[in-house]
Amino acid sequence: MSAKIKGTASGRPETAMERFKAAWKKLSEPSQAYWREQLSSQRTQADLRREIKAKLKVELPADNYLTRFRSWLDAEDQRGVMAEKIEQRKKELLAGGMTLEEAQEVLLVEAAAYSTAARDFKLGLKTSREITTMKAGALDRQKFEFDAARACLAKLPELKAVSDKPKLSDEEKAKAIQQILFPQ
Amino acid sequence: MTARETSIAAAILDAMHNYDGGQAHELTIHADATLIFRVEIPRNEFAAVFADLNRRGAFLGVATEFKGTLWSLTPRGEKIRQEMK
Repeated sequence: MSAKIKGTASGRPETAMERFKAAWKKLSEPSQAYWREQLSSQRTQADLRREIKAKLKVELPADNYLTRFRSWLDAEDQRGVMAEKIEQRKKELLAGGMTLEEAQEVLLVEAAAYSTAARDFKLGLKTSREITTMKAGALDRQKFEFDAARACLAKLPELKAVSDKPKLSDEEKAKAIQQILFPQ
Repeated sequence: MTARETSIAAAILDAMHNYDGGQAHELTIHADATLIFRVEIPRNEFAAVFADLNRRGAFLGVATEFKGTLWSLTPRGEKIRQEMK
């Protein structure tokens, strides 16, 4: 008589792979490190499946389950690396003076570039670096322009005074205004 | 939910379904959902739909030390996704 199929909240029976992934998530870090080592070792798939059955109480019916699990683990690790990069970049961008909204816009472009080039990690990083440089440059320009406009408003009377001086050349007026807006 | 919000929600749920039980940062989910949606999802629209789905119990968020909060799809989220099909 076959074992009763256990139902899940989604209404589907739980597969061996789902049970294995659930068991994996419950493992401590040292245990996961041990299994990572075994999964990348020279051991045969059958041997690994025997040990998984004995220690984790999960029976994987065929060798390709381990292959699929390795692919899933790689994808998980890549997403984990990406998450760490996102948080690190967020701190860098915020420390550089961007608002959270501006930083998230930059980060989103990077995440999108990575996702589209996900099969080629190096290409993804290269693409995201290029797009980030462009985006950061555009944001820097916007920020500079806004800061300059704000400085003009604050110093309007002084700027008018310079502009009204008949004896100054245009170049001298420009230098004087530059000094007012951006004192050295 | 408007028709657009429902479409965005479907894209988010499909992206997370593709993680096959795995976790991802919100920005990665946004990027992957945008690929499925085929048109850029504005940040404020994504955040509103994501928050709504989260309130309905579709996601599990786990705060980490260095990676921010990582999100995964719950069985309830999978059920919501199936109901949208």
